Amino acid sequence: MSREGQKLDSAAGAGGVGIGLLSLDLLDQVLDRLREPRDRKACRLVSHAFERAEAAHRRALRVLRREPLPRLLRAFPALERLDLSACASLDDASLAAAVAGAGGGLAGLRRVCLARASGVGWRGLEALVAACPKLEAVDLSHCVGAGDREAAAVAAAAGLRELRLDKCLAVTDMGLAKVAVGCPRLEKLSVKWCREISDIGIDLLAKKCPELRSLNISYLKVGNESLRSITTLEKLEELAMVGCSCIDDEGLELLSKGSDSLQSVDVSRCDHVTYQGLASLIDGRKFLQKLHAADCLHEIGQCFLSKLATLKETLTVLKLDGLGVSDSLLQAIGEGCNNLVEIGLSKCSGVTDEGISSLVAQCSDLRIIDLTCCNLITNNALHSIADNCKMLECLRLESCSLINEKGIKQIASCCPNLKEIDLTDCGVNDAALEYLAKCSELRILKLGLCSSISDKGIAFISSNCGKLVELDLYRCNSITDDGLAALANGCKKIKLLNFCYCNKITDSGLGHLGSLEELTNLELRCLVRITCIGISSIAIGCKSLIELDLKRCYSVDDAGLGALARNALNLRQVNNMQSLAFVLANS
Amino acid sequence: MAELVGPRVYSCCNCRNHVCLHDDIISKAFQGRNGRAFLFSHAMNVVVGAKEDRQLMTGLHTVADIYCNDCREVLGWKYERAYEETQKYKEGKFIFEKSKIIKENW
Repeated sequence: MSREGQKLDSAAGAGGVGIGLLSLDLLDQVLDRLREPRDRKACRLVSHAFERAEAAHRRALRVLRREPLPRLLRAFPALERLDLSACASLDDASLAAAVAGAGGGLAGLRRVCLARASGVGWRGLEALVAACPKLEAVDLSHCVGAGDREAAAVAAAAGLRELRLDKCLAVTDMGLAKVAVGCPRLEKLSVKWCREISDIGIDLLAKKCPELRSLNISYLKVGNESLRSITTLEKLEELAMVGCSCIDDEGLELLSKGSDSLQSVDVSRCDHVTYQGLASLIDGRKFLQKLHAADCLHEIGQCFLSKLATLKETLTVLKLDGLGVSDSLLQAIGEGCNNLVEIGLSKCSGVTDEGISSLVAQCSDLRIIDLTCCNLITNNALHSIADNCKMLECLRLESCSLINEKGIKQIASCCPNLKEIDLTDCGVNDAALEYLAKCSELRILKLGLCSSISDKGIAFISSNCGKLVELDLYRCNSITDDGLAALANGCKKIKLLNFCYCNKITDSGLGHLGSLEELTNLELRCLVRITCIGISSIAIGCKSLIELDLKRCYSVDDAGLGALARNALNLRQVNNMQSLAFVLANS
Repeated sequence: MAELVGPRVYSCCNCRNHVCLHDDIISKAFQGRNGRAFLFSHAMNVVVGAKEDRQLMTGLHTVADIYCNDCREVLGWKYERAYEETQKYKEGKFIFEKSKIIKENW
């Protein structure tokens, strides 16, 4: 501990002046107001008193290694949220031992995340559930080995409200039954990809868990009978059935007889659903807000449009990706649903400037517009959007190759709230970035395949978009080290960066990136000029780095990866064809 | 990395017939007729049409359009011959246009 820390501590002991006077609950109040986890962590270093206060106050913990787990669980008795998803090599024995050693410390734990913790099985889960009587939410997604015994272990948490079993491939109807019977207060459940589950399991679930508000049965082989059972759930608000190919229009009609609580329905990629089924589903729904029907419809008929119009007051999100549309259809949608906040038309053929104009003329509340691959769109559509949708936050224009900086100028001037824009493959230039720089709220900027972008454009963005979190410059091969310098200077909050194939970048550019302390994901594929010197700057400076892609960086040798292994303590994934084994051995 | 349920498959946008795998992608930086396209080393469930000579952005090539074998939607083309040494690597490979294929199960 530092000398200053020691001084303060002795001052506290002697009843002296300054910070040392603050009592534990006053320190608690101070800590309440510290939002940034890094600031709270820095507090711990001030003095023993601060450290005790912070330990008693801490509600959330994310553990990266399993060795300190027992000590950590003892040290933080007020934990409510525990994230073990990044805990390397966590297994049953360690988890059970840590839980046993925590004494009563886990009594307040409400939420546990074990996503991708593939080493954890029913023994660890049983110990955890037994030690945490207030457990409300468990996330076991992507634990691909988890099966019925694990489900049974979790089912012992009688107060459980939220459970995620996405991709727990071995869970069958038996496991689901245990959960249904053991957790009658269940409100949110996801069994996406648990393909062993059938109509029988869903039927029992519907009978035993009447409180269900959100249910995800995507990619299951369940059929219309499941929908009949789901109809009995009176409080169901959200239903996701992506990729359920055994569900068809008959099933949707059964569903429409249920209670009127549904707010969000997702039938994307259900290839036997047609517009008629959807029409009967939305008939008379008074609360439907979100309708996702991406990649499932081939056409839309009048009966669907008239039913859609009955949702005028409530419908805010409509996704129709992959549908062949026409100007009159877009106009009808605009007239029918003028409260839309989000519209998805990705890969829809037939989207023209006229169609967009008539749509946005009616829907001025639109905040999210997805026009990926709508390649007939020109600047005129952007003008219409800019004129009508002043609240615009997210605009996706990937592969709309007819637009250019003139259209972007309009958007940037009229939509000050713009947070996300995707211009991949649009051929925009530095002038467009000069206009976009006006959008100081910009968080996500995707410029992949825009080879006319140069350091000048990046300088414009860095000068004003200080909130930028994600920047994608995939194959923008005119970018050089100067662009990276500008970025590191102006966009301190950046987390995700993609410079793949920007082959003019050298170690000097990576040196600038070393000042980005919040950087978590960095893609540097095929940067042939960078060497271990550049990688070391990244490893030492980018303290938050989690994922790094170095494929085909032929000049980076083992020394560079050694630097990573020693310094990048948060690193979870490195992609490098040559020397992966070296990194794994050392981390 | 996520463990997936089976390989990542792309389908025909029209009829959801499986046509190619994400793992067979060689490059994502190609231009199709209507926008971005990807180069794949393999294709399945497609019919290869008649060969013709076409002047593409990278020079003269002999290509053949590929059609989904269920619904006959044109999804891209196959490179049959390339006439410049630097373009020879494309021979026998397939271009699928991004707007014509959708992610099936991922």
